[in-house]
Amino acid sequence: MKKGHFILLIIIFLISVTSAFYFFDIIDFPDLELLPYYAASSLLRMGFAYFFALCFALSYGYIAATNTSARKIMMPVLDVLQSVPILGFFPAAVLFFIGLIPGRTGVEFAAVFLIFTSMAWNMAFGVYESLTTIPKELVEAANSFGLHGWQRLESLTLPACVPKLVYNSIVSWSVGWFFLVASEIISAGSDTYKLPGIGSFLIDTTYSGKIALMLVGLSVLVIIILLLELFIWKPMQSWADKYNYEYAGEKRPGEFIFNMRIIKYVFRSIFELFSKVIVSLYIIFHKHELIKRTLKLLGYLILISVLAYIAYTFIVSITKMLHNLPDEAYSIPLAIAYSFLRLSVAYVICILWTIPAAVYIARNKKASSYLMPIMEVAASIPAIALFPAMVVIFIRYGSLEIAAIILILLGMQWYLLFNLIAGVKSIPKDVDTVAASFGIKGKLYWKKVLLPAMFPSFVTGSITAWGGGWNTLIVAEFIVFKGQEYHLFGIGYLLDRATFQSPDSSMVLLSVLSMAVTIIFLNRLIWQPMYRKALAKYKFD
Amino acid sequence: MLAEIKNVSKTYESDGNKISVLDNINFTVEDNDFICIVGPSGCGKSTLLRIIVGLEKPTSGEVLFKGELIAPDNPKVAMVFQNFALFPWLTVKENIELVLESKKHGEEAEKVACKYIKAVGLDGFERVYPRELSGGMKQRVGFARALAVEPVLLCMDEPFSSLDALTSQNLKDELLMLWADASMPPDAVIMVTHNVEEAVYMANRIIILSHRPGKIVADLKIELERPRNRKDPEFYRWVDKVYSLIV
Repeated sequence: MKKGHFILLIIIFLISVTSAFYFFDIIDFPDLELLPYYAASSLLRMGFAYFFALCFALSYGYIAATNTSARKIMMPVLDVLQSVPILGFFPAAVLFFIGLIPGRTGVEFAAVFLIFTSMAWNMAFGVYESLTTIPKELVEAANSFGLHGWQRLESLTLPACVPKLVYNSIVSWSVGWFFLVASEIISAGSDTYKLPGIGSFLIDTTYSGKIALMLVGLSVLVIIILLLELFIWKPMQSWADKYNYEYAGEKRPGEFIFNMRIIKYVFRSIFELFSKVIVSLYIIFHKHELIKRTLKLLGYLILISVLAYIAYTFIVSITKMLHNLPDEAYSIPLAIAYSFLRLSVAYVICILWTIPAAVYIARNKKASSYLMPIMEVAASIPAIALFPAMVVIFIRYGSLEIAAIILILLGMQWYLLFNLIAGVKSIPKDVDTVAASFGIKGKLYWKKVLLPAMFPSFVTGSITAWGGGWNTLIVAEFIVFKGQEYHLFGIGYLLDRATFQSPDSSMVLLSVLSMAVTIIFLNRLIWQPMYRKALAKYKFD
Repeated sequence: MLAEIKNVSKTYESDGNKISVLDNINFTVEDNDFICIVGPSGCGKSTLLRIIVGLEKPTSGEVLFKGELIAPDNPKVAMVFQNFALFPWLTVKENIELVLESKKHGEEAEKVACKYIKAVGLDGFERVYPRELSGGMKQRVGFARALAVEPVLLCMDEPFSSLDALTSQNLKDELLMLWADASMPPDAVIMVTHNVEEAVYMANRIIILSHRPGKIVADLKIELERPRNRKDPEFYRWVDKVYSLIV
């Protein structure tokens, strides 16, 4: 089954279920009135964040790729930013933006900023990688035939970015949905800072016991995500193939609506217009030596003053904090340990099911032809949207602990599964043939061929899975349900409480910092050495 | 005198070690020269060519084109690449029009592009993307693009080595026909190759470089009648001579 048909089927199914609810009077129309408004607000937040992320990615990636001295600072910064749990910064961002712009507008800014941070880094990496991997001869051709300025950008620089930018945009949007729903759910914990949107709709309806309405909200969210996939990302992908060096001639299998000329044309023009505006601004600024120099000077000045300001406030608040440590500060290490334990449990469960599943799916063509689309669609639904429903079930029939671990599991598993499948598929046919012809089977085959071959993708998958896990934690450890607060002791709980329950900025800062430090520490100490070893020893070239 | 290569040396630095690639290269390029630069692999042939067109800077020495220092975007010098270097997202015609854009506009550029597409025998393929073409056809686009800027000096970096034997032979003959046609642009050609037979077949002057660091071992005038015959014993004497100088 083609993925497109499958998506269409799901959309039709969801729409019919929703309308069935309506016709059998399970839900009332007045309750639904606000849903389009909520959906539109959520979508708008995503759109704004994506716009800024695209601007950021193009300029940051371009500068890092073309300016060798700037690159030495810019790439490590991007690396750290990427490995930090962004959701942990949401409470801090809320406090910061409310300080600038009081009230809901501030929270709006914080939410858009949060979604931006979840989208921007990998897109910037994409632009940087595209620009640094343009074939050398192509660059030489552009040089020797005198392609300069706008002409060069139009014919070489921008086209070279298209494939990775489109691919990373898809990833960014799916991560973005997670953060959108998360920020709406987190802020729903307090009345004053509540953001209207699909996420808060899910929470509100759940807590007021309107489960049918919650299901409708969930299906609206899924429908929006699938429609975007169908009408934006699919056509964009087939358009992007034109800009791929390796994609030799073969076209993607044509899937009915995706190849509609008009859709392609519309998005192409939007993309081109958009990038032209950015780029021409850039060129206008760089045409005149004087403007260029003043801009450069201004840029340095701003950069230095911002850095100085950040360093200053940082040092001041740290010294203040150290002089006057909040009582709770001493519970932070224990909270991190609890959270870490929760993540480890989820991670172990993850490993236990994804390794055999990945081998089965990758090895079984028939199974993968219908399992893959299902999994891909399931993975595109932000796990966090299911949290309200899980809370209802588990608060009644279990404990929040189970709900939290399941949520973390949902946030982790897809990264691991898809990476592992790719790992199994990367085993060259020759290796398999050799193994078969020398009678390497069963246990020995797993030990000597399968597991080593999966190791590099296991490490990459684990790194992203843990990143997703830390983010999920912030939502999973603290929830207000029917006016009553439920929590699990952990770093996410400390953070949320310090933001919304009893605002305490130094506590927020301390928690975020210690969490970031823990994660960077884990990355440097465990994952990066493992990754280097994996690449050196177990990679098929 | 078209171009002058004066005392050109090149050293690369890697991990603190200096590797000398080219050592004091001197020669001049005259009108009607078809120069082939040959030498063992790694002798810096391609580097020398890139220095001549200005894509790389020599460590010492200079390259003068019509008495002036060479710039990489000099419109009178055009380049043909080993792996074609076509823009995959542009059609055949767009690839050629692209390099004309800064000099000619609209219809004029289109006219010139069509003229050279025809000259290399690609008419009918104007709207095709490079990936849909065979290797030989891709290199034809490479030639058409280089000729379209109507260069005085045409530089080619192993233009035939990523093609199969039959295709490359056809293309060589066609290129020689264009070269014989006085109305076609380049006044001189410099071609880098590792194939001695190819050099003897095409060039009227062969410059032989030594093993690294590359030095000029010999600068031979090939006095063979055109069209040349590969089975001619005289042809073989030249091939043997060049071989003996390389080894």
